[in-house]
Amino acid sequence: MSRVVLEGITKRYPGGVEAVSDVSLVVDDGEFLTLVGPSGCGKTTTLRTIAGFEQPTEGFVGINDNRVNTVPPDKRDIGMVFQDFALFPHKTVAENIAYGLKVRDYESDYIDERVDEMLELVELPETRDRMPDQLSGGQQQRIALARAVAPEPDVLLLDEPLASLDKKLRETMQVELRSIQRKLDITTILVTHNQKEALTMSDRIVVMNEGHFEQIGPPEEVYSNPTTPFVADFVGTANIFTGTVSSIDDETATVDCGATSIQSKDTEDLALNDSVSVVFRPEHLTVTDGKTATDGAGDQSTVFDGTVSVRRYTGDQIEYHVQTATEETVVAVQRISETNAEEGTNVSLRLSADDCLLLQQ
Amino acid sequence: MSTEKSTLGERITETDVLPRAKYLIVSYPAITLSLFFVVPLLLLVVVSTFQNIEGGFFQPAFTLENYVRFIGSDLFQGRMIYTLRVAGLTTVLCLAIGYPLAYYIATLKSELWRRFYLSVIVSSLFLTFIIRAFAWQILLSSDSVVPTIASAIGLLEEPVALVPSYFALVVGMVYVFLPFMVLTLYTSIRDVDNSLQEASRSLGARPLRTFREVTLPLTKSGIISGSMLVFVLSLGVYVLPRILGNPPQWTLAVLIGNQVGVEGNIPYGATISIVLLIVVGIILGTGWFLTSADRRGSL
Repeated sequence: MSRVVLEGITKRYPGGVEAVSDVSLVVDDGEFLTLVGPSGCGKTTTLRTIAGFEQPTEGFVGINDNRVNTVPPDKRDIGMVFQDFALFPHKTVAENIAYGLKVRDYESDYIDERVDEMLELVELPETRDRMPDQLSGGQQQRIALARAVAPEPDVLLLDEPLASLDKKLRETMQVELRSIQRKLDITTILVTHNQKEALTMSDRIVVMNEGHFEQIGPPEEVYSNPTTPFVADFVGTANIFTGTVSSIDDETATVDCGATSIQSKDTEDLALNDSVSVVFRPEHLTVTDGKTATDGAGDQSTVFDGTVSVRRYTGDQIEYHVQTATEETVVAVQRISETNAEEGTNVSLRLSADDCLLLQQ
Repeated sequence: MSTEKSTLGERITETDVLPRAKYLIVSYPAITLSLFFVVPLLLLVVVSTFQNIEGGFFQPAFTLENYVRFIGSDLFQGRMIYTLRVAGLTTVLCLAIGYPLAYYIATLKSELWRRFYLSVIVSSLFLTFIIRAFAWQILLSSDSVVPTIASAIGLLEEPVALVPSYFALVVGMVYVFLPFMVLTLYTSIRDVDNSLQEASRSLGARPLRTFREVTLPLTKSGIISGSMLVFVLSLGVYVLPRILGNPPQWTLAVLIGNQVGVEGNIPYGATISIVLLIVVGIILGTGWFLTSADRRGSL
């Protein structure tokens, strides 16, 4: 069963600015879906369209197979967590959580019971009678979540709920949010600009850019098989070259990128002289010191020779920015136990043709 | 700071002027406060205990005679209560008319329109009370706009002059003090985070319920301060009752003016002023207590 359906949604503001252009999406029951993209990409507008705070200019919005285009938010049976939590400052924690239940005219005994249940769920029963400004950021976040799910909504909408927390807390909350979502088995749509958050939390990711969907898929697929250069660049770190296919056979294509030729096995639907983007991840490069440069370079891999311009130590690994002779920068990541090159030294980076994606332009 | 700079300007700045200027700046609020507020108030208190001499003079004395006379008089019981009643009615009407207005302006999406409406409201303050009072006197007089329309739609049997009257006084006062109410409420309503209202809607509360449960409680301090402002301003109103009312509509401020200007009884005028000030003080204190209790509650 599909909980949320978007069909050809376009949101145009007076003045002609198009925040969202013709996007379509089906969210399955119990699925955790994340809309991720840079600020201004239309992800929040899309979420607010599902919530009912924005009406689409064109298209169909469906929740539980009902058309809800013009249904106001209070009649949509949604739960929402806002970036600044939006807890009612004049109500206690218990009153905040009870709000959605009281509005639905439940009996007060049931409301009390449900509030306790929700406080248990977010592991904060001791905060019952406190005011929101007596809570820490992480606690406010959890109460906001408890308040949103208390009335058992059809859909849970999360608008950058972790953005205002510090890194450590954010990571803890990512895990907790996900486990609560699984426990309740509630259809959830998360909006975030943080690609790592999107990767770690979701069943599926929607990468948005300039009002349209670039790619929809499970995190692994989006990361390892980006379909556009934008997705490759936005999700994780990627080295991107552009060039034309100079030779191609059954297995391997060679792409001429100015001074560099890059080999790839990603030859599907490719023809000679196609313009392509060459995409490869920093962790797929092997760093060796300059002397062994071309030794291992068979016809199945590409070697970049250059000088380490930046060396960033991140604890478990080292990131190298290598400047090639043609003034291009290639980023490579090595585990700490592997090659250790200083800034200014010459290195060779080897890229296997298997790890190199070609994206049609 | 041990660099050896010895230009003239620097030496004067650091050694001579600065220490004294510091005291001057620090004492500025204390000096202005006492010069313009505390001293005049004390003078008023002192004069209120003086003895009146026929013909507009008075002599130093210490007598509570004026207070005894005022508090025991019909003036106090009648006029004080009347003044409080007019001020109270004005406040309630300003709140009832002002809240929807302020809410409408505060929730406009276009900043341009918000500014436009605020400017329109503020611009009515450019004219003095006297001119606006006269304007209402003309508007409410017989054969004029308001009575003509009122009789045309059947509110009046025939276009009669609505001024001077209690009605005219209240209309004038509401008109004059409404901007203060709207501006205070506007700020308070703008301060309510929009996501709180959205949170309420997302939890299933309709617009009216959202207003009652979220917006209204969160603008309570604005309602209280706007009401206190209008109430206190209304208590001191002097020009409007004289232009739009008859002697039965005269408030305490008019009587104070008469004591000083017509009767020449300055100590008695001072006494009425002090009593009025005490009443205002009690009301302000209550309001302050209510708002701060509210703040304690929401901690």
